[in-house]
Amino acid sequence: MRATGILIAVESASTASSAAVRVAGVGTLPSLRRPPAGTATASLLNAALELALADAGVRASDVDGLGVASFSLAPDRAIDFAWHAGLRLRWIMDDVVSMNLVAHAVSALRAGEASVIAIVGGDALLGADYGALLDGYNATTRDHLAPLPAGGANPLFALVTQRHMAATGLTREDYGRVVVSQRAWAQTNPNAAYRVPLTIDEYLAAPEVAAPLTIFDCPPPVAAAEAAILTLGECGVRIRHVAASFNHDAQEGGLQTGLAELAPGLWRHSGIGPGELDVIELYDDYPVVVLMQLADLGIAAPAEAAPLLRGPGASGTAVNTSGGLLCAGQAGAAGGLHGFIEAVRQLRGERGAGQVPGARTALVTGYGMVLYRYGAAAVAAVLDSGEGG
Amino acid sequence: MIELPACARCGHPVFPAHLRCARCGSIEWTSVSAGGATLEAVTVVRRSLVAAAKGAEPPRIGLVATDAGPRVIARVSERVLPGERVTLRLDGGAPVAGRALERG
Repeated sequence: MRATGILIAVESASTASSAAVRVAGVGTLPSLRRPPAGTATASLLNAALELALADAGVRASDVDGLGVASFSLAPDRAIDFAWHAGLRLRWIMDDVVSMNLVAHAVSALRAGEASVIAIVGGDALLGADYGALLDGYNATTRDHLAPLPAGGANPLFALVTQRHMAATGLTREDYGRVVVSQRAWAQTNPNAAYRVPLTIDEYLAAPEVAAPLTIFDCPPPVAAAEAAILTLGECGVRIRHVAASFNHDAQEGGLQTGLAELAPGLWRHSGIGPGELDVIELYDDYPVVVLMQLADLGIAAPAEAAPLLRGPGASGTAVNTSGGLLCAGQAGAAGGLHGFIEAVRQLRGERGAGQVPGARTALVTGYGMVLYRYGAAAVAAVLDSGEGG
Repeated sequence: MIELPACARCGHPVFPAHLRCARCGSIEWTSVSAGGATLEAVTVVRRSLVAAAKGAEPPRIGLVATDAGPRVIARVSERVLPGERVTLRLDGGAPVAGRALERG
């Protein structure tokens, strides 16, 4: 089958002392399962931006680029938020794929189109509003899935998981290991929605959503926002390379993400291989998506992923160290930024009890945009701590 | 059995309908019969973020592989098991799958 994906290749930085794209600041709001009535998305985005600006030591008047990822900011767009946030800009972008905002921000900084770019993502989208988003996600969902009624993406990924189980021989325990390990990491994340440890027995006995998925396999919607400040600089966490793929298989596959196509170029351009990662933050709307991505990136085949899926305290490469979206909660379009910001904190050594010792390299992925049966967007970024070569 | 949109130039069938053929780029379309179909996987939606109609049965949602090629997400109208042959029709925009009857 001929690929229909699009690859965006961005040149990597050469040495630690040269100007490179750095993450100068990050900010994360606590995940709220029941936000106060009247919580406005714009306020959440602004609160996250405020945290990131303070963390970066920059003022709003320094910001000349803005990327916004949000479903519920509508009818406002990035430019409306810029006006209300007092930002005068040379570069602006709207995209619910927040890692795509990161990819384009990196290009813009390297091209001199902006010097300080704020990327903000977040949503306050719960209950009936969230259901409406799911049912009207795109025209195909509105016309061919909502009437079934599918009621969202959960049954779609239940079917993906069933196909994946049949193809790989994995059992529910293997998918449960993703959730159990991430719950262990979530204990170290004060912003996470679900921080209570989970045993595999509790996972297996959990209430069913759509077999084989239970309540612990599905992304819990929360209200929150996150923000990052990107600049060109001489020190700090560095973005080495970003690559993306959209509509890689025209929705004619289903057991492989677009990461499979972009992975070889990702390693080549970033100068870091799949076996050299200290921290791996994979977009985790469902456990099966975590396992597919590990395989697509050449990091671990599904039957070999178990050693990577354990909580804090063990040595070696760690996966989804904030608890991921499955435990921290998914604040709508902020989902793609979540792992990116967690990776930055790990590389800075700021994670306290959840710190991966000596974390120097990280991989972050974004995934999503379910066109019909599964996600069509895949973005991957390789970051390092900015120390050394 | 459902008719699937198909590229008028190269014949590649798809679901749902598209604007341009991803294989050959044609913008001309025709349709072909799905042929037969097999239920690949099925799940019952026991909890949903979208409010269900009052008194409604939990929906059975299945992945159906058509003989023509495209996979379709369908409401499965009876207790069909994965691996069984199914019929496929459109109820408005909603594909509906039922057990294919044996031919005598």
